[in-house]
Amino acid sequence: MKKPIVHLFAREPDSEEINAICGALPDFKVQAYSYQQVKQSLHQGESILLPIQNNFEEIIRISTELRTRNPDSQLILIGEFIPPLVSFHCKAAMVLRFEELYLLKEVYQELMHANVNTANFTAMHELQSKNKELEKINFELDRFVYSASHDLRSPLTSVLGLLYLLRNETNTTETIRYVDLMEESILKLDNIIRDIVAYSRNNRTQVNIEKVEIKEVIKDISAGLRYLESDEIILKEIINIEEPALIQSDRTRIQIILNNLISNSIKYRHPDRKPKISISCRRTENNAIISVKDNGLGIKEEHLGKIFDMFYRTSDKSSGSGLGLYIVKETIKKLGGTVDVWSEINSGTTFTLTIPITEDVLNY
Amino acid sequence: MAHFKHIVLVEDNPIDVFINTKVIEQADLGDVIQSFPSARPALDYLKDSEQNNLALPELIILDIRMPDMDGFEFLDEFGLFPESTTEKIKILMLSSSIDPEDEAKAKAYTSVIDFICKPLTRDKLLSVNFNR
Repeated sequence: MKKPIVHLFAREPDSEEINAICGALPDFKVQAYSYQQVKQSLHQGESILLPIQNNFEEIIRISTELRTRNPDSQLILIGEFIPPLVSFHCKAAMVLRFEELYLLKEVYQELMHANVNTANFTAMHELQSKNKELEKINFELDRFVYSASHDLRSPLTSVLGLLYLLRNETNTTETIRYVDLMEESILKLDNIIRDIVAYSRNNRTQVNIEKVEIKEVIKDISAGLRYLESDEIILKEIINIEEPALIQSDRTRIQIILNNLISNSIKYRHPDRKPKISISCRRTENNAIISVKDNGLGIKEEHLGKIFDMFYRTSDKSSGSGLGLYIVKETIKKLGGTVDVWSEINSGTTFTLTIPITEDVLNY
Repeated sequence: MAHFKHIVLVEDNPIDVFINTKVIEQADLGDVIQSFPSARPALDYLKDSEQNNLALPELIILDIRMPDMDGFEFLDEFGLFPESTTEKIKILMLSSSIDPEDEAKAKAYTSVIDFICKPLTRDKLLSVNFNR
C-alpha cells in the first residue's frame, strides 16, 4: 500500500529535530520542506506537520497563510509545550508531543483498514479529546467513590456509635441480642462499602513501589480488625508472623490483600478450636512469597476453582459481598504477582502470594 | 488512660457530638468537654484564648469532612499559631474516612497524635498513645 504523504515544514530540513520526527513516522512518506516549498507542493486535504520551536508568532503567521491557501489541509503541531492560545490561532487539527507521534500512526492504520484514502484527522482529534475526557472521568469517579463512601459511612458509624452506647447501658439479654444483630448487619454493609472502595482504588491508582515491612502491615491490620470483630478475639495471639520481612512493593495494595485474607481466616474459623493464623514471608531470586495459613473450616474442593470470581460465594452462610477474594486476585495482578490456594476441609486453608520484587532489600 | 482537664471536640454532626461526648465521659478522658459545630468558631476560640492568655484545651478531637472549613484547613490554620501554643495542644483525628490518603495526610501534621476511624469507642481511645 502506498504510504500516506505527510508534509513537514522545516526551517532547516536536515536538522536533528526533523530527522527525529521522520524516524518516528516510519509508515509515512515524510517530505520536509522549507516554507516556500510547502506552499507550492501542498494539495487539497493533505496534512502538514509543524514542529514548534520557540517562535510561536512565526508559526501562527505560517499556519494562517497555509490555511488561507488551502483550507482543507490538516495542520498538526508538534512540540513539547504548545500554549493553547497558539493552537487556537493556528486552528490546528491536533497538537502532539514528540513522544505522541505514534498516535498519528494508529489513526492512519485504522483509516487504511477502512480503505479510506484521505486522511481524516478529525478522527484523531476526537481520539485525543476522548482520551482527555476519559482521564477526567476517571479522576472524577475516583473522587466520587471516596466522597460517596464517606457519605454512606457517616450515618452507619453514627448508628454503630449509638449501638455501642446502648450495649453499655442495657443489661437485658434480649436487648443485647438485638444490638448484636443490628451491629452485625451494619458491619456487613460497612464491609461492602470498604470492598467497593478497595476495588475502585486498585483499578485507578498507580502502583507505588516502596519498602514494605510486613510486620508493620500486619500490626495495622490487626488494629483495624479488632474494631470490626464484636467477639473480641485477641489477634496478637492468633496471628503469628514467622519471620521479620521487608519487601519492595506497594504498601497499600499489600495491606488490602493481607487484610482480606486475614479477615477471611477469622470469619471462617473452626468453631471447635482456637483460631491460629500464621503468616510467613520468604523470598526466591525474583519473588517474595507470602503465605497466610489458618486452621479454619477449609474450602471444599469443588469451590476452589471459583473462589476468586467476582461475587462468588460458597454458601448462603458466607456473609461477605463476594468481592473479597476477587479484590485479592485483581490487586495482586496489579503488582504483577499471583495467588494460589491450598485447602483441606475441616483442616485449614493456605493462601500463597507470589510477588515480584525488583531490588534486593531483604538483607535484614 | 490519659486524663485531660479540657477537651475540645470539633464535629458538625450533632448525633456524633452526642456519641463522642458520652464515650469520652465514660472513658473519663477529660473534665470539661467543649464542642464546636464547625472548624472556624473553634479556631476563633483558640485565637481568643491565646491572645488573652486564657487556659487552652489540652486535647482537640477533630473531624475531617465538615462544611465551610474542613479538618485539614483547620490543621493548616492551627499550624500558624506560635509554637508555644501548638506544643501544648494535642490533636486526635476522628473521621468516617477510610481513605488511606486522609490518614497519611493527617498523621503528617506534627500536632496530630493519632487517627481514629469512627465510631469512637472506649477501646479505640485506650489504644491511642497520648504521650506522643
